[in-house]
Amino acid sequence: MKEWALKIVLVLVVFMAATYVGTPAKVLPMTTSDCDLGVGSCVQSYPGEPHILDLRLARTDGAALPLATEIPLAVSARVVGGNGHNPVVSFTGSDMGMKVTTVKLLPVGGGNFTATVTLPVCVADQMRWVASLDVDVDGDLHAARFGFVTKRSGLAGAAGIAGTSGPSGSGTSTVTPLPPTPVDFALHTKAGPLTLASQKGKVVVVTFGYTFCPDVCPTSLAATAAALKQLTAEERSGVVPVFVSVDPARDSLDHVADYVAFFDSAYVGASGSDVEVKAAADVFGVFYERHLEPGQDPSKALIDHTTRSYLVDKDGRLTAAVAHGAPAADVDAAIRTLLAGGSL
Amino acid sequence: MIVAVVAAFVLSQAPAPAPAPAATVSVTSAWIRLPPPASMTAAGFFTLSNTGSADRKLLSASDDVAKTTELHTHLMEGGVMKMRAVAAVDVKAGASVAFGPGGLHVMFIDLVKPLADKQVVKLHLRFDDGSVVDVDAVVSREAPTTAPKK
Repeated sequence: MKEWALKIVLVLVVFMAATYVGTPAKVLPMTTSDCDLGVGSCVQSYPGEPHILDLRLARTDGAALPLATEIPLAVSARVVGGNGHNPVVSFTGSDMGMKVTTVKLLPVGGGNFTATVTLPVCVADQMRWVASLDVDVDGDLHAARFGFVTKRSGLAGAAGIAGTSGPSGSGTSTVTPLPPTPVDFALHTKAGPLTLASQKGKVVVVTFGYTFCPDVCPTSLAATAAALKQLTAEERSGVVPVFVSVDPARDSLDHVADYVAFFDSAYVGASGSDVEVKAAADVFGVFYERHLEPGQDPSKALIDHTTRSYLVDKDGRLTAAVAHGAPAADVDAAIRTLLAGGSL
Repeated sequence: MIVAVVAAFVLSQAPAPAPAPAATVSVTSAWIRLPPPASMTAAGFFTLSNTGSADRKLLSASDDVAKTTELHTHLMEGGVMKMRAVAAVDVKAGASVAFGPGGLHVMFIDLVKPLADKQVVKLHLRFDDGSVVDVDAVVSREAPTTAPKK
C-alpha cells in the first residue's frame, strides 16, 4: 500500500475512534465532599485538564427545612474550555448501592446546563451520594463524579404505612416553585404526537402514572380536574392537563385517552415507547419502577412511582412541583400566576 | 372524631345487612372510588372496629364485581409511592383500623364490568376467627362525608 493511502487510512481510523459513541468515558477521579444537602446547596468543581466541569445541586424546597422523604433539586452543570453536549447526571445512593435517578440536562447558554430532579431519600439518618456527570466535551465523553451527603435528625420523614390521605412527606408548601427550566418531551396521544414545545402559550399540568393504579393516580387526576373546574372558562382555555402513562405495555393510547376523559374532557392522555416515556420522566425527575411479586401474573404488575404533578409555564419551562393531595386553591393560584405571565 | 362517628352512623343506616353473630369486628363507612369506565381496577375503603376482647385479622375480601380482590396498602418510601398486597390486616382488640386513599385499601382487579356511580357492591370480609362480615360498599366519586379518621 502506498504511503499516502496508509496515512489516509490512519487518519480515518483515528477520526472514527475519536467520534465513536462507544468510546470509553474518561473517568475523572472522584472528588469527595462532606457537603450536606440538608443544610444548603452543594457546589463542586472539577478542574480537569483541559476543561472545567462544575456541578451545582440546590434544594428548591428551602435549604433550612428538615429533609423529607424526597428532595427537589435544581441541578446545574457548567462546562468551560470546550463544547459540552448531552450532559446527564446520575445519582447513586452509595449506601444503597443503586442508581436512584438519572436526569438529562438541557443547555441554557454559556456552557451552562440545567434540570430538576427529585431525590428520594432513604430512611437512613445519613446517606452518602455520588452524583455522576457524564458529558461529551468536544467529542470526548467525560465522567466526573462528585460526592455529597444528606443528613437528618431523627426519622421524622421515615416511611411508614400511610393510613390517611395526603401522604406527602414534609407537610410544607404543596406547590413548590422550581427555578424555571426549559423542558420538553416527545410523546404520543390518540390524536397524534405531543411535545411541550407545541403547547407554548399554555400552562401545562403534567402528571405521571398508570391506569391500572386504583387509588393514587385517580386521586391525582381528580384533584387536578377539581382545580381546573374552579377556573373561569377563559382561564381553563389556557391550561392543558396532561397525564403521561409510564405503563405503555398495558396502556394503549386509546385506553389512556378514555381513562383521562373521565376526569376532565380537556385531559390529554399521553404515552410512548419505553425509551420515550423514560426520557420524559427523567426530564421531570420522575421515578417509576415496575414491581412484580415472585410468580405474579405480569399483567397485574404494580408500578412504584413518585406522585407529584408538575406545572410548565407558557414558555415551556418547568416552574413548580405540585404535591399529591395539594389543595385545589393552591394549584389554581399558581396556575393563575403563570397564566398572567408571572413567576412563582 | 365526632364527624367520623356521625359519618359512621349516617352510613350505617344505608347498608342494611347485620354482621354475622360471631363477628366482633364491625365495618363502617364502606365505599369504592368510582373508577373511569376504561379502568380495569378500583379501590375500596372502610373502617374496621374491633369491639371484642381478642385481636382479629382481616384475611380477605370477596365480591362479585372483580375477578380478583386483594388487600393492599401503600408505602411512601423515599418519595416513591409503592402499592403492596398484604396477607392480613391486624385489628387489635378494642381498636379501629381505617382504610383510606393513600393507605390501606381493597383492590379490585379485572372488573367484570364498569362500576356505576352510587352502585352498591356487596363485600364479604373474612376474619381469622372464621367470621364473615357482609357490608354494602357504595360506589362514589369521592369519600362519603369525610375522609377516614387518623
